[in-house]
Amino acid sequence: MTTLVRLRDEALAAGRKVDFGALGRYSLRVRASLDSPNDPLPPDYELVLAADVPRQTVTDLKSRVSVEREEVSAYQPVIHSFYDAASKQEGTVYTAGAPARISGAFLAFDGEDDEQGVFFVAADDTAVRATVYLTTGNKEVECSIPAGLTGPQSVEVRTRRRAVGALLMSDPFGPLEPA
Amino acid sequence: MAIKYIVVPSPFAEGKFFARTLPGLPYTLDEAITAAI
Repeated sequence: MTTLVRLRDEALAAGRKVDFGALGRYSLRVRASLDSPNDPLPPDYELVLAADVPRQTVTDLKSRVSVEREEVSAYQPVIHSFYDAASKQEGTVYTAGAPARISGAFLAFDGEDDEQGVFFVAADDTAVRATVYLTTGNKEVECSIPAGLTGPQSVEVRTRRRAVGALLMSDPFGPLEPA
Repeated sequence: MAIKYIVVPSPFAEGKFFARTLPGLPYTLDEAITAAI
């Protein structure tokens, strides 16, 4: 197939009209606007590739393909970085009881809803929600890291969008070690 | 060989002209297979 593609492109570049039957018909077209019939082709002329695949080929392919919907929401929160203000470290440690800044996308949540927010998850899956928030923006969330956390912790952001309904969870970020 | 074109008056803008590509010689699958082997 690679050879066929190379031969097709060589033929097109040489001004040929490629007719590969069921594999398609191809031609190159020059597109340019000129002010005078004697003007040369402007250097920025467009080259358009016209391709026509027989309907039967598409029908045959449709009977063989499978199409699946991915159940991942476009609004799923994503954590890009975690900044521990006490240690001034990015993405490696946390200081219990100190402020933290999380950057990412689709992070905004309702801070009054206990199911949503920033969660610190220990190795045994114990999740502790941060309860103090300074900002809850889409790209940045500032919170106070819960006091009393020990051991490695990963961070998750959980949100709910009216359009989606279900609780959306970011992939875990970390693990972070105690500072 | 090259892509051949002619210049014709534009039916949409008076005083403008555009390039119209002329169809090239057909290049068939048989010709490609012969060239590939």
